[in-house]
Amino acid sequence: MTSTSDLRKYSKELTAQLLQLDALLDLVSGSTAGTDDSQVIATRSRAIRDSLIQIQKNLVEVADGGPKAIVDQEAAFRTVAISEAELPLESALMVLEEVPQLLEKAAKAQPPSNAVVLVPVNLAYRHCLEALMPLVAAVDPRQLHRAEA
Amino acid sequence: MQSDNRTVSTPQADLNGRHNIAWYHREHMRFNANLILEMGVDIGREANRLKVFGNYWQREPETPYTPPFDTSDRRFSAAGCPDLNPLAAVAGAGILFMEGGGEPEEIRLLKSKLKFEGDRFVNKGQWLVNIMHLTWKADLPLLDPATPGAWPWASVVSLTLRGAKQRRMAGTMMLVALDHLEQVDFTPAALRENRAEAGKRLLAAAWAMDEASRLFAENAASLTHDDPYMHDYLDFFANPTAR
Repeated sequence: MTSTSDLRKYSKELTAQLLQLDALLDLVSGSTAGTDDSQVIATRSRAIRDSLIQIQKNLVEVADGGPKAIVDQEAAFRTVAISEAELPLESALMVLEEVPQLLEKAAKAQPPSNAVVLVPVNLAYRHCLEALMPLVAAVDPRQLHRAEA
Repeated sequence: MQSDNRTVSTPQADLNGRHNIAWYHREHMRFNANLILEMGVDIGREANRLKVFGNYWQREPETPYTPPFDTSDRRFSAAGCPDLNPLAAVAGAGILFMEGGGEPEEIRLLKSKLKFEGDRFVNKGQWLVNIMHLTWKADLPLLDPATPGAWPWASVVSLTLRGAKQRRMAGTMMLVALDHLEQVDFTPAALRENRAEAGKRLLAAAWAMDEASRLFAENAASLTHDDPYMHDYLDFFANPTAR
């Protein structure tokens, strides 16, 4: 059964990846295609993707088959939030997967430009934020206080 | 069927095919945005009907509007149940529990709707998820430094995948609501045995439907938000090499 601690745990993990994506956006924006920047971008995007894969896997596991007709409404709402958080992550993973190949394309372009790499990174950033929202919205501060007491 | 180029696979023919998809699916997305919003409104309205009864069943019954009579008399089998129907809400909610009746017809119809629409959105949502995976792989060549005009399409595909999963989950929430309702015996005698608990189930079903409604609304809003992307993408076909 899902708990308020689960909501907070995955909120923190997604927030961490959101900040990583935010930094990656800046990095790609200011980068030059075909230079060492591209290697750093590829490495960071892979690391973010790996983390999001793990978060997605954990969310699916905690949701335990998804929403069910249970009487405990607080638990029901939390399970819905956990399930909903997982929905945009597949899109985030799908677009991030293309970053390394796009960096290669960008390096070969005339003139070389990493602008195309901003497309998946920006989309992943958006989807990560979408994943975070239901978790934040489902936190009941009263439960949070009890969980910490 | 366009027979002039259907067996030809050239870069231009591929572009033509994508152009066709962009035109027709932009229009279909516009239709779907409203359809899905209407679905959300409809399910939200159905949820509110249940909430009226769910809340009432957790309060003391209102004083009957008529003096007592023999409710077991078959002549009065159509009599309304004062402890199950909040009189002022019957006209708006359209659900009526009758002394000699079983499960109201309106509840039966609602269950059928939840089953039909729930299954439909789970299946169609999954179908669209699969299509978007294929589309993403097939259209990746458009995500190229040389074709910035086509980049908005990547956003549309990515957001449509997310939206397909929202629709699938909305379907799941309708089936969860159905499960709640299936656990209630809606005959007046059974409800009187367990009035407050049945009310809780009705509220739980209504809240599951509210979640479905919200997911539909978010999906509809996202589809509307995609329209300018589609507009830009269609512009791309007018001059595919423009930067």
